[in-house]
Amino acid sequence: MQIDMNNFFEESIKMIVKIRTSEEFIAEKFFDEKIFSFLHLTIGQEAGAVGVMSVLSNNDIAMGNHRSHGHYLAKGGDLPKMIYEVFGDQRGCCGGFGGSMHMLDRSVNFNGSTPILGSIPPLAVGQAFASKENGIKNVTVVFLGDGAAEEGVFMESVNLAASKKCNIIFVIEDNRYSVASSHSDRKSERYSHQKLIEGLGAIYIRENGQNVKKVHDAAILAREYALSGKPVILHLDLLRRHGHSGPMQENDNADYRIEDTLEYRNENDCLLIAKKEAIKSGLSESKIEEWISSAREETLEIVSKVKETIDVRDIS
Amino acid sequence: MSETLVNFVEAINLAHKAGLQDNNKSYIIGLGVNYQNGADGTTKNLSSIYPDKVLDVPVSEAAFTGMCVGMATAGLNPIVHHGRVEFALLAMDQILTQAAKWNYMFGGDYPCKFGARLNIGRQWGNGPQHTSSYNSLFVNTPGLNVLWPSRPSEAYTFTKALHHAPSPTIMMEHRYLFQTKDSFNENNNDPLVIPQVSFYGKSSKTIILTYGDGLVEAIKTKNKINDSDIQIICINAFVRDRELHEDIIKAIESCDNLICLDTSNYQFGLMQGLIGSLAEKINLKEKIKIFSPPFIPCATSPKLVKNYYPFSPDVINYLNEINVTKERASDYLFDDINLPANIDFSENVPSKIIKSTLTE
Ligand SMILES: Cc1ncc(C[n+]2csc(CCOP(=O)(O)OP(=O)(O)O)c2C)c(N)n1
Repeated sequence: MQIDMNNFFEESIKMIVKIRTSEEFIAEKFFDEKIFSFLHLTIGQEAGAVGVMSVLSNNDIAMGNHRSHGHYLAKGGDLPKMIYEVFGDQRGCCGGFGGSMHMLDRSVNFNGSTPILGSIPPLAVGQAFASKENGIKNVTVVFLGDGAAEEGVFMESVNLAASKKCNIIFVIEDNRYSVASSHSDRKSERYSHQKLIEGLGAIYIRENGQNVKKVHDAAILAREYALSGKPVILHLDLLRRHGHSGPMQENDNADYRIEDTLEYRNENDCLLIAKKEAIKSGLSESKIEEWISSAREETLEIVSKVKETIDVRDIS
Repeated sequence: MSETLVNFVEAINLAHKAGLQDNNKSYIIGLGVNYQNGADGTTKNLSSIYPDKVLDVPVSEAAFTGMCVGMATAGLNPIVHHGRVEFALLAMDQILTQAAKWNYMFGGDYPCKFGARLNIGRQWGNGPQHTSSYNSLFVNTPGLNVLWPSRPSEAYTFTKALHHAPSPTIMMEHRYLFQTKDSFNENNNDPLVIPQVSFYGKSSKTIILTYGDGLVEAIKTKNKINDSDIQIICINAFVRDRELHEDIIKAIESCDNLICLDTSNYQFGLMQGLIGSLAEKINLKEKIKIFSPPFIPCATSPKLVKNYYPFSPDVINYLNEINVTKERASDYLFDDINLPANIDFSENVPSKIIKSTLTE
């Protein structure tokens, strides 16, 4: 959802809180309905989605992966429909067919998310190519993790997009892990995203994904390049708060984490950083706290109401 | 020796332990197999004993499966693991076009000792892209042995076989079975001798034909109605050609009712292939009844999947209608439909097992 620069911190902070609050609610209620719709929470790394979407017009297209609640909401996706979908109610954004890993709101051009790693980049290239063919001036943004970016088809998609001059941004959300495998488990010591991407003829931008303002600024640049027919890879460094999947918090320091201890993740939390940046820009702390609590209350009110009406069984 | 009760996951884990110990040319390769509780627990703790044999890999199915095929043509015994059959689809060239044809196209003196473990089928809440049952892709490809363990003891035997596989061998693991229990001996039999077909019960006028996780509902049906009224024929494997053993044909020829219990999409799939193969030899028209999912993917919402998989009450009530039994069964409740199978198979031992041997 495009954010008005005059209210950047207010809007982006509220969106981060909306995503976080709704996911915390899902996590808490996850076992209630025994749906077990395969869940991957984005808590901790919301700033990536919010910062990127903040520069997109409604006309721009976004697509996502297995961890896409944040992408969907930040693009302006309907919150009640997301909750219904995750809990398996047929009023969900995919009619209950998809579940948590399949987010869709075509009214805001959030054109789908799919969990098979590497499946979505070429599909997004297709959507971008179709925009060109249909004479629509927009960009297509596709989100994938650092793990999925290892699939050969991702490189093939970048090459294809570059050769067809598609208006596309591939956002790599790099939370350091594929499940519990770190980069060093999966990559040679000399692995270079930059060399790979630039070698394919695309633009490579890397940014601190925990800082929503920095993501926003990088996304503005990325969108300009993409609109000129140069595909962009926007590589965001993020921190996932929870475990890879399921509703469980990772309270203790899981043994696979290297330096991103719980303490480190808390210190570098994207909401905290956004708050600090907002204060630096002259906004008052009490005002910011007001936004946070109002966004939280508003979200909780919506999701609690939806939850009360959930109807997924006609058997006991 | 383990006569204690173990579940499906533990059975695979035990077999891997034995397999890695028996064959120092064998490997387990796949995403996260080296985690402490890797591959859903099936590779639990193995990497601490065999850090050089149980290997994590980049997220690149085509490449790491291809690497396994390459290793397999160079005298090693790799087992590649894919947590869903959909993930293996990224590597179909390597499995169907390279591994399956390797020895044949190079004239028959160039074996490919490739093993694969593919998780397949239903899992509650996993939705359309994580529950596919692409059995027929593999069965319809010459050059592959395809194994469907339907209980932990078979999962043990098959996993051990993979550690020594002399030719490309794919184990299709129904995730639905992971919590089922069984008791068996960890024996030192020839690991290449495997069950191909299991018969449960003596010959009977009513036969349930099934494979993989279909055995759960077949056993529940058999246990509910008079035991001797039903025989189950469970297909465990196809090795080399796809000929049906004559005992299967004979049994089905002399029965009155053939119930096909298929948890995959039936149309043009494994079960319809089986039926086609039988129909070339015997007349089935008057006696066959198919229980299978509708020809759509599996959704996520409970309301949408309530009637998706075939369940024992449907079979029992059908058998009641055709006067095989006086029993009737009430519909399953939510948990029966949606939670993983929790059956203990140890009370249900096959009355006859037809075996086969994996060869080059
Ligand atoms: C082709 C394929 N292989 C494996 C998986 C299983 N899987 C789901 S998410 C995941 C980790 C992906 O890591 P990354 O792309 O970095 O995204 P993240 O989960 O960290 O957001 C894996 C291995 C899958 N969904 N698809």
